[in-house]
Amino acid sequence: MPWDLDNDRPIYLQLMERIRQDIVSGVYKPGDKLPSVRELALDAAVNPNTMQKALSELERDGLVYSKRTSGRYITEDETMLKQLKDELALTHIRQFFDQMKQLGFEEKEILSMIQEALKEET
Amino acid sequence: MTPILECKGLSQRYNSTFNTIDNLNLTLERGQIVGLLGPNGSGKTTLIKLINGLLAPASGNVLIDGRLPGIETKKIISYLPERTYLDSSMKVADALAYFTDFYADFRPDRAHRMLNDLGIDINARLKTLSKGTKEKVQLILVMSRDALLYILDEPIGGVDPAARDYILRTILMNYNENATILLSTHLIQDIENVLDRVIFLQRGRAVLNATVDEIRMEQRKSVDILFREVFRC
Amino acid sequence: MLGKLIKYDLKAINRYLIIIHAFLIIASVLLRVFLTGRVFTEGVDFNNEKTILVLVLFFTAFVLLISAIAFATQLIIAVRFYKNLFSDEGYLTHTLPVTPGEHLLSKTISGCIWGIINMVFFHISVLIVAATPYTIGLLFHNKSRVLDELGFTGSNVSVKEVIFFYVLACLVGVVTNIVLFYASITIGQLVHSHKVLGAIAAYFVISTAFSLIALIVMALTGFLGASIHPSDSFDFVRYMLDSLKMNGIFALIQIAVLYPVTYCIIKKKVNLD
Repeated sequence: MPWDLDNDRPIYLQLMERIRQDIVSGVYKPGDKLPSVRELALDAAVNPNTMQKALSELERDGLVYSKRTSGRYITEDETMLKQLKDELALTHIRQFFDQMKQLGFEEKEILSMIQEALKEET
Repeated sequence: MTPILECKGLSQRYNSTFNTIDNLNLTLERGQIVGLLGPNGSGKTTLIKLINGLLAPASGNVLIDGRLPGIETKKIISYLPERTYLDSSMKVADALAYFTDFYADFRPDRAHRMLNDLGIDINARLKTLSKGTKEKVQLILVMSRDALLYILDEPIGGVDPAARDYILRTILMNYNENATILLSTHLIQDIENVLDRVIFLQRGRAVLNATVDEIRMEQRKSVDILFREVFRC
Repeated sequence: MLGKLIKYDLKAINRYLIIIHAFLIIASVLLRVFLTGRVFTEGVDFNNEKTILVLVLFFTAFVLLISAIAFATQLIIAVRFYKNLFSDEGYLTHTLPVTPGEHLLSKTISGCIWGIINMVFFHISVLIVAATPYTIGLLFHNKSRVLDELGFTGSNVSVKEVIFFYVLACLVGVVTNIVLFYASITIGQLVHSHKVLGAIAAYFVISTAFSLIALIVMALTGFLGASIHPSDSFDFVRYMLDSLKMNGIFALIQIAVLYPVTYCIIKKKVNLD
């Protein structure tokens, strides 16, 4: 199944996001070996060079590391993974706030609405 | 390393501005999948014929791996025209034997595997196959070569979406890092994600030559949308 | 590579040509068994109008059959050439790692092989039909008279010499025909969108041009005049032999002109749709 990608943003950025997401959500566990570039590219139905670039960028960020011959692995650095999780959470929260502000809500109103919603759910 | 393809002041003129190549300068590096995009009559097929030595240029020249078109370049180019170019009285197996006989880089085992994946009977005569299946057989033959330059002219032109996905998979699966794929099409949206780079051809000139991500980064829009803007009627 | 090309060129035409030549032989054998084998025997009344009529009818049919098969042979060879080089198949043919020279040579060799086979079969089938034991016997008994009728008596040309040049002329004729067909098709495909029509036009133009030239040369050298006003010492067999040779030379010239022209066009001016 080809990955769902937007049309208006660089593909490699979206590939990075998707892999980050997969790491956080536990599709890949710390220390897991990542599939090869070719496999990932085929899976995503994207150009192998683009996938290569995305993985290199992730490697530069330290999220994945490569062993010389055997391929790429997910970092086992728990603090880094925690940090990634927090960052992603923060991104979602910011997005949410932006959208709510566009609807004309104040921060206090938003917070109380969240609390209401949580009560209803439980 | 010499570029896999180099056009220097390449021109080919037909009776009108249709299908011409006009003083084209172009260099393709190795290891890329390149989309050759342009509306009908923009010169895509003419350029492809020039690269394959099916046409002689009126002026300028085209170099493949540093050589003018000839036997040596034909050995390293794997070409899929938008025609059914196999003798239809042949069986699929005959076509395989033909490629094995003439192309040293042809890998019959790979072709067998792909034919098997698609459930195409190797003993079927080509004339008994549907147009779509014939096109698939040709693509399989072309992609079963270990060529340095693959030239695919409208490979996803007339096939259904499922077949299109298979064709793109086939291209990605058989692509190796040293090879270059030049792929002409007008269905950009479907292939945008598999391309490194796109070349927009307009009246025989390259009006744009950039990577897909460069375009998205700078223009904040997809190649498809940019194409529609550039070639608005 | 040339060997492989020839292999595939032959493969493509073999099927049809084997069938029609097998048909020719079968037809000849039937004709022999049911007609000539019975008619050409001693004691046949050649004054019987019915016998004559049947003979004439069947020989006409036979000649038509032989001509049709010769024509079909050439057509099949020509179609293979056109299809393989100038139709959609040309996209594959011209992108094989093979030189244009090898393509043309392969097509010429495979075409000539079948042209010669056709020629041989033509002679074989004439022999099957006509050479009954009775006619052969007749020929041997009246050998001197036959030679005399043919004009060999008093001629300084031997029968062997005539046969030798006849075979040679047949071979050269086959090659010339093939080369002429290929040249016509190759020139014809330059006419965009009317390739077949172009080929037919080219064929008539080229063959007419060469005949005219041949005629003019023969007239200028006085060769033609010799047959129109034969002198007393006119040696008919010698004359026929000379014209055979002359035709051969013209054919060779035709090949020498057309083959390189075809080669150059295939090399530089292929015009696929």
